[in-house]
Amino acid sequence: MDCTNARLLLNFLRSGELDPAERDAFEQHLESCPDCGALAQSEQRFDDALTVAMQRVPVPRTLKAGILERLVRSRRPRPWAWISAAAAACLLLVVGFGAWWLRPVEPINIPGLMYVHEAPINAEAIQDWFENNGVAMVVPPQFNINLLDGYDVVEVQKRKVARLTFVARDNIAHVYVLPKDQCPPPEEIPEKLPGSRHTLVSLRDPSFYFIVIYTGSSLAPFYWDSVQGSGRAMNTARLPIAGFTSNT
Amino acid sequence: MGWPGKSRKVEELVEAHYSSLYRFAYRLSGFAQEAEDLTQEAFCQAQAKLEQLRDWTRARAWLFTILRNAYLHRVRSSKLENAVSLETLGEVPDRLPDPLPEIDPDKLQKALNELPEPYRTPLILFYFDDFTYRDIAEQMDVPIGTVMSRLARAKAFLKARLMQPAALVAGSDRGEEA
Repeated sequence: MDCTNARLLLNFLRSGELDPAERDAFEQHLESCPDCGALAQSEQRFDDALTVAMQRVPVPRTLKAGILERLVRSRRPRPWAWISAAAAACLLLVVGFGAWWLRPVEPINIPGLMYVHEAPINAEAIQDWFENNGVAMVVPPQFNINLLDGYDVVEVQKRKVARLTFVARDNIAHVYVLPKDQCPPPEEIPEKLPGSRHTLVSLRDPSFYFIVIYTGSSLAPFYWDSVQGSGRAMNTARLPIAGFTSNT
Repeated sequence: MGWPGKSRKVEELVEAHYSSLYRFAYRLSGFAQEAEDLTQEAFCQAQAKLEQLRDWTRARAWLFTILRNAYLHRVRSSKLENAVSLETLGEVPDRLPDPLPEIDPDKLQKALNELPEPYRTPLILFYFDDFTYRDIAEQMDVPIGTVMSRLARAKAFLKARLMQPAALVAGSDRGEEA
């Protein structure tokens, strides 16, 4: 080993850091070279002095107790965490309510409202409207659409259902259009509830069934072949409740 | 692990390592109060993630890593580091006086405070707690060669800061001899 390599290794004198062969060569060089030997001794003195000085740090007497106390404190549940969460939730609520309260309110679109009343009534347009509102339905074909007074989506026992309202003279018929897959037809439907002026009738379709609740003696005034209607023939027969049950 | 077992283990760690951890923290930060706080924080973090310590023979290195990370986190958030560049070392004496004068611990701390942290940490670990190069490399997540070169430069910096007047005397003595 020459002096250049030996002086590079001076920094790494600590035992165990050099591999044995390298250490042997290094030590042999230090024995044979007085300059490098003196430098190595000087380096060793500096290392020793630095080690002593580095470790001369007085440790506070209360340190251990302080650490143990803080460890115990950190194990306790922190009520401030709950308080912060509650405060954040309240703030969110206040901000949310404020945003809702201050929301811009759109004025009523008058031409749009008039269009609804003046738009031509036909079964397809009604079915499209319900589809856009997320409700599948068909208009019962035997009903005279010219007698349709209104239609809307109603909630029936937590289900969104299409409802059509027909008016004929002094009588009214509410038709609930129920998809068979989502609202399985009940086994028995009473024709008339005790004390009620309404009559229940069930009509059928491949995918839907209709519950009609109406006033008057029969549904005939609401059909196409009634005196008010256009004379179009019915293509779905009226089924009595019992017949509906046995046919499904 | 439930609290009773966990707290007993943490207390064992405190008993075995609190003074060396404090000394490391003091040399790293340069302030007694901050060193105390860092030591407490390191043990609290150790308690919270005790499950991560699988090999108990590595507990000391693990605690030192936690403490160093806590220190770095503080330094980064407060931008406290104000270190000198090692490019401006000046002349480093290669032959030191014999006998070597005792190194003043406060003067040593001032010099350490001037060192950038990547140089300060390996130096403290190497001299103070007898970590090997490999231990330091693992702890700092740098190659072993990087540790060796940083140590060499940091040591040269300390020599320049702590031994300069004596070295000048020694140098002038040599000049007279020549």
